[in-house]
Amino acid sequence: MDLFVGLIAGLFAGLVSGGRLSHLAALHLTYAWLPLLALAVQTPLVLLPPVLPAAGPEPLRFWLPATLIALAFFAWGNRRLPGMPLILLGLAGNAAAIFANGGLMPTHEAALRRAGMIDSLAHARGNPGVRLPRSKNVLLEVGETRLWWLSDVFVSPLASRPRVFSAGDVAITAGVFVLVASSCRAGGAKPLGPGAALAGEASGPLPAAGRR
Amino acid sequence: MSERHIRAAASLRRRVVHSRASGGRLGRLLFVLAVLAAATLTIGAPGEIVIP
Repeated sequence: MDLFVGLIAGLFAGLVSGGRLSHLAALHLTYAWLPLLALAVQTPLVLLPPVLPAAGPEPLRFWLPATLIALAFFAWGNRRLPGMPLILLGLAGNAAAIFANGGLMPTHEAALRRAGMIDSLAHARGNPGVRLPRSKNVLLEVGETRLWWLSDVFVSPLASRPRVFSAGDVAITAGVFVLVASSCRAGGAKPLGPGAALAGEASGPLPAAGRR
Repeated sequence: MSERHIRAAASLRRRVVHSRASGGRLGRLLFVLAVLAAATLTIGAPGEIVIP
């Protein structure tokens, strides 16, 4: 499932229903730097080749849970925004599966087969317990996966290239859709989480944002 | 300075202020979209990230 479906569809739905991009620009996000920091940490670790057991521990097994904790602060700080409870739910689901299975998101042979990810499957068979290339996934048997129903067991019917995804990913996509669509329509929604007052004072309403 | 010059200067100032505000709004929109995209990518855990 392409995670950006929620973002793009939310923009489309918001604009079609009479919303404006300037309203979305006025969205006040608390701890907005945390997702950017998490992306900067996760991206190189995901794109680097997996670390084989002989070479030491896989760094993503530590940094993926660590960034999820940071992202929980972001989601909790913005919990009053529309759609953010769904994103929190998705984060909780993905984090539970990742924490319960050693720091990586489990996926399964049947799902990889359905998605046509044969190369990943071959790599995983040759290197059991090793992260799949360019992913946060590890191949596990369903029987040995804790909270298997929260792992990457679904296969996207939408993307041009099928991918496995989790129930948490569905909640995140739905949450982003609601957040973007309703922010385009309403505009200027402010979170009521910690630091929200300071964030609001610092950035101010939309015209003030342009006076940087 | 004639009244015409003063009016031209005021007009120029208004245009600069408007341009800065528009640029700020665009920058702010791109920032919000970047944060939401980053949050989506990092909280989500889909298999195999494909770089376009």
